[in-house]
Order: sequence, then structure tokens, then C-alpha cells
Amino acid sequence: MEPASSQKPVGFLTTVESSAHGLFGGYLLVDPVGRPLEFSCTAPVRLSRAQQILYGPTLHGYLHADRIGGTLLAEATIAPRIVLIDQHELAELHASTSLPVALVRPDGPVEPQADGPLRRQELERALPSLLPDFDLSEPFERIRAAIDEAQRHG
Amino acid sequence: MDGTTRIPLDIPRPAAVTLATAVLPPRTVRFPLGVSRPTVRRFGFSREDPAAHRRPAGPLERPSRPRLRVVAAAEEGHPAGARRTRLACPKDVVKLSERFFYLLQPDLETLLEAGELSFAMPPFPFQLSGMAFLVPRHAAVLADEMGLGKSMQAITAIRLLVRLGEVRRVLVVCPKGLVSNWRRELSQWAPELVAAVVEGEPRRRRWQWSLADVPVTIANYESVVRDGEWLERSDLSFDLVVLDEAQRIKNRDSLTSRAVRAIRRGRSWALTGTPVENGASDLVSIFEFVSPGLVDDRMSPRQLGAAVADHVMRRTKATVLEDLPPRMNRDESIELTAEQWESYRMAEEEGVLRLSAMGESATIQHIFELVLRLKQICNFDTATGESAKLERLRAELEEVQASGQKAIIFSQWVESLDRLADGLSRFGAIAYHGGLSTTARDRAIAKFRDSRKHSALLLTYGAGAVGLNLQFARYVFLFDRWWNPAVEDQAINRAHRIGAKGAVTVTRFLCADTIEERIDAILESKRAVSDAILARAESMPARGFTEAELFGLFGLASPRRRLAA
Repeated sequence: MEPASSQKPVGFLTTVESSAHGLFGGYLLVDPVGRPLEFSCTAPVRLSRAQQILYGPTLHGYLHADRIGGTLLAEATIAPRIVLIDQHELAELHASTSLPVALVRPDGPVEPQADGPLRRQELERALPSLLPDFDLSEPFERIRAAIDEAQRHG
Repeated sequence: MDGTTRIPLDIPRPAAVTLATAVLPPRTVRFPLGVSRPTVRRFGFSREDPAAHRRPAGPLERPSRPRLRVVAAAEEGHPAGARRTRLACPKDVVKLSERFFYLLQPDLETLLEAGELSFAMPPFPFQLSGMAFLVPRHAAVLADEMGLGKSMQAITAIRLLVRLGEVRRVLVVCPKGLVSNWRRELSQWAPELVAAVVEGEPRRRRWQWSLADVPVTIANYESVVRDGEWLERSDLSFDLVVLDEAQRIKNRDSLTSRAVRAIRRGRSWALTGTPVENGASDLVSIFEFVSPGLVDDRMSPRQLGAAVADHVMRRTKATVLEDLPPRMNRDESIELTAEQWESYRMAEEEGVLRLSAMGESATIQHIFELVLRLKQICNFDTATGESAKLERLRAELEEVQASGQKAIIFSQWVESLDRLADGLSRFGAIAYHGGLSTTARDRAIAKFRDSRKHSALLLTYGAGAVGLNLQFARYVFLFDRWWNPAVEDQAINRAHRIGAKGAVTVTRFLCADTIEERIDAILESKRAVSDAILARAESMPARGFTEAELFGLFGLASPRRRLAA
């Protein structure tokens, strides 16, 4: 088995909507045990009414995946083995990165993005870097808690 | 007629109105629809080489014990199942990056499952909460009721901090009698952390203080006082100092309190089951060490409670240990023997007469002397050596011994214990008190625990009330009563604690119609007040016994009150 030290971290990326501030993005890189290595969060993005109307149905994917997700991945200093997301709005993230991206469903299973470059086989190779019992939805809760903390502390 | 009228018939060209047919380009209103990339804040958390997050290597490492998986705990019905215990960031951590550092750590259960923390036995959920409380705090008081595993929670929190790279040198200060206990608990709960004990002659102690590569140093309060000046002069500092039985510094002017406060440190934790043993000032004194300047004596109980709220965690057995065996209290009213009663009656009458005759010159010291004399007669008649309590205790121990159980017996006096040791020799009674060396004490506990020949352990409140783990004993006897209910509770909780296998029976001997009954009435009322404070910090109890209470034991008014009248 590959020694833990040589295993690449795993990235967890999600967005949080705040009625008061706008849309935040958070990206947490953890080691195989789940300890944080790096965390990035965005300033909130607020959309105008015009943007909302004229982007139409393309807005959400563009905003979440390209503007927020892509920016967070570009700013990170550590390259993960895989980026896990928990929102369909981030599904287009694969277009903004060469990293494999997979969606963690609320009920547990993880699936590679349908039209993404990651095939199931690759996913199966990437995930064992985490502990077998690792709760993949848990780090997203940490990101949400951190963004909530950032909002409360300005 | 020459007048001609000319009527102009020209139709003037009408003013032309030119209508431009060309459609002019409209004014442009531009809406920037591009969503600009948001600014990003990045926080890194690698405080040390990631490899060091795992088992420390090199001279600090000792072989780890086999790990017990938390799964095993769940199978045994232990309450360590699906809950997630997150580190709780204290309010006084202001820097966002620091808050994120704790907030983004995985929950303790995940670390447990990862084998990052191995345990000799699975911790209870409330113990995980205690660790989550301690880890992020620079100033903390863990004030759990005795027997809930404060040492274990502190040790595991230390372990986590070492792994996180937050601390490298930790000092544990505890009463002398608990040094071996700490060493044992550290080897049980943090086998990978080497601990050094400060002991021996001065030069040896200074060498032990200076061992920079040892993650945990254990010292007793006396050593800290003795080496206080040297410690102040040296450049020695610790990332964390843990005070066990922190009520030892409740008098902030004492040498002990000054010495521990002078130790240079990053974090300050206090462990105590009785943070308000006598009054609010106890807690203020403890905070002089934990967070100097945070609270002061001028604060009302409400202000004090609010100021310390984020730094104090206290749980009681009743709230967290639903499956702890019950504690059964029995007050045994004992009739003195005829000879004892005669001695008692004479001593009390003489004493009260003398106090009355002294008038305003009678002091608390005179009252104490009389109380102690009467209490000693209640234990053993000074004239004949008779003891109704001893007779009752023998009868009780017959039953304890016959059922293969063990009993611990507390007294205020070493002299009483010596007499008990003689009187209870057929039960293999072993004495444990402050007059014994640490080695002799450890040997006494080991003999009592391991040999069926020894059914009774005799302890003084001073030496045996704190830190000892005697949960294998099912019976506790309070041969005489201490002045403070908190100290009695500590004594009782040597047996009634985590690991106790069955109900613990506590028997308190009270001689009928004597000073003991009168003291008991006051103790009971103080116990009720203490419970109220710890629940709400609304009102603080009086310090110990008041002068009025002491004089009232003999139906006398205190001289001060008489003067005021």
C-alpha cells in the first residue's frame, strides 16, 4: 500500500448561498485522515437582476463552476488527487480544470461527472487515498461552518 | 375711381417640415453582464512537517499499544456510535485563520476511526466533548465532577495538540501523591508520549526541568515551590501547563499559587472537581493562573459566571453517566458506649463552661480545639480506648469481606487510622496517609487492589481524597466527617467513578446527640448551596464555616455579634 505521506490530498469544493451577502465558495484540501491542509474561500458574489435574466438557465453552472469553482482551484497551492463536489451546480467544474471531479451524493455514492474526463475506474483509483470509513459528506459541513464563521466575523 | 384693391393670391410655400426617414442609432445602455472572478482568501494549515502529524519518531516515541477500534466499542454497546464531536473554537480566538484552524479539523470520531488516537478503552461521548473543549483553548478549566476522567481528557487533548504541532513541551503539576497516578495514566492514554518526573535532590530536579526533548514533564506542587526562584530566573517555558487538583491554588497569596503563576507558558489549563470549594474567590484565584486579569473579586456572581462561561466546562455524573452504577448513601447513627458518652459529656460541659467564662476573649481557635477534642472522643474514648464506631465498622466489614468485596475508610486523623489498623487487622487493613513515601503509598494501593487478604484500605482525607482510582472498592466508610462537603465528595468518588462495576455504598458514621450531628446539619446546608452555584453561578457560598456557625455549634453567640448587639 502506498505510504500515507506520498498520497495526494483530496479537495472538497462547495458553494454557500447567503441571502444577506450573496454566493460564497469554499475549497478545503485534506490529507488522507481528513486533516485540513489548505482552505480557500471567496468573497461573496452578488448578481444583478439583469444578469439573472439574461444569463437565463446558463447562469448557475457558469457562476458556480467557472467563476467560483474555477477561481478557487486556480488559486490553490496544492494539487489534489481528486476534487469532490456536492452540488449539481458545480458539475461543469470539469471544464475549468484538468483535475478529476466527482459528485458526492447526499445518500453516499460518489459518481464521476457524466461528461467529465474522469471515468469510474479512475475514481476507484483516486478514492482509496482516503480512509475506508471516511465520511465524504463531512468535509463539506466543515466548509459551510467555516464560511458561516467568516460571515459572522466579517 | 382710382383706388385699387389688390388681393394677393400667391399661396406662400408652406414651411416645409422635413421628416427624416433614416432611423438613427439609439443611445446605448450597456449592462456589464460578465461575472468577475471573486477575490479569494487562502489559509494554510501545515504547522509542521505533515509526517510529524502521524506517530512521532525518534527518541520521543515508545511502542504503541494495540489499538482498539471504535467499532468494537459500538458492538459492546458503548455510547461512541454515530455522533460527531467537533472542536469548539473559543470566543477569545479572534484571528480568523486561527478560528479556521480549529473549525476545519476533522471530528474526533474520524481521528479515532483513523487510528490517529488509540485508546486503552473507548472514551465516552462526554469525554470526547471535554477533549474538543480543551484542544482549542489557551485558558480552560475542566471542572467535571470527580470520577469522570478529567486526567484522561486532558491527556488526550495534549496528545491531539502534540499531533497538531501546537504544543511540544507540556508541564503537568499535581499533588505529590498523584505523580505516579499521572505517570500511569499517561502511559495508558498516551503511550507514545514520554513523560519525565521532576523529583530528587535539587541538581537532579534542575536537570529534569531542563529536558527539552521530553514532551511531558510531571512535577508536584512542592517541587514547583521549591524550584520557583530558579524557574523564574531560567528561560524555561512551556507550551502548556496543566494544574491538576487546581483547588490547591485557591489562596492566591500562597507560595504555591505564586509559584505556578510565575511559570512561563502558552496555555493554562486547570483541572478541578471543586472550582468553588469554599466561595467565589476560589474560582477567581484559579483564574489568576488560567487567564490573569479576566475576573476579580469585585465582580458579582452573575458577572463572574458570564466572564468565565467560555472557559469552564463542568459535567456531573448524574447528567452524563446514565449507566454509572448507583451510589447509595447511608447515615449510620451510632450510640456511644457508656464510657465514651461519659467522657464526651464531661468534655463538652467543661469546654462550654470554659468558653462562656472566657467571654469576648473566646476565639474560633478555642472553638476548633473543643470540636476536635469532641470528635476524637466520638472516634475513640481517650480514657478507655473504646469505640462504638469501630465495633460497628467491624460488623460491616465482616459482610464486606464475606462477599469478597473491598472497602475504603476515611478519617481526619492519622492517629485514628493507626488505631483502626490495629482494630481491623483481621481484615488486612492497610493504612495510606501523607506520612508514607510515594513508593510505600503505591505499594499499599497495589496490595489492596491485588490481594484478597486485604479487604480494607484506611485513608486520611488529605492523602486519599484526590486523584486515586479505587473503583474496584464497592464500600466507602466515612469514619468521621470533614469540614467541607466537597472534600467528602472527592473521597467518595475514589470508588464511585468510571470503571465501578457495581453500586457503591457510602456509609457515614454519625454519633447520636453529639457534635457530629450538629456539624452534619451545617454540611448538608452547604452542600445544597454549592450545588446551586455550580448550576447557575448565581450566589456563592460563605467561606468554610463562619464564626457564627462555629460558635453556634455550642449554642453560643460569637463575640463579634455580642459586641455588635
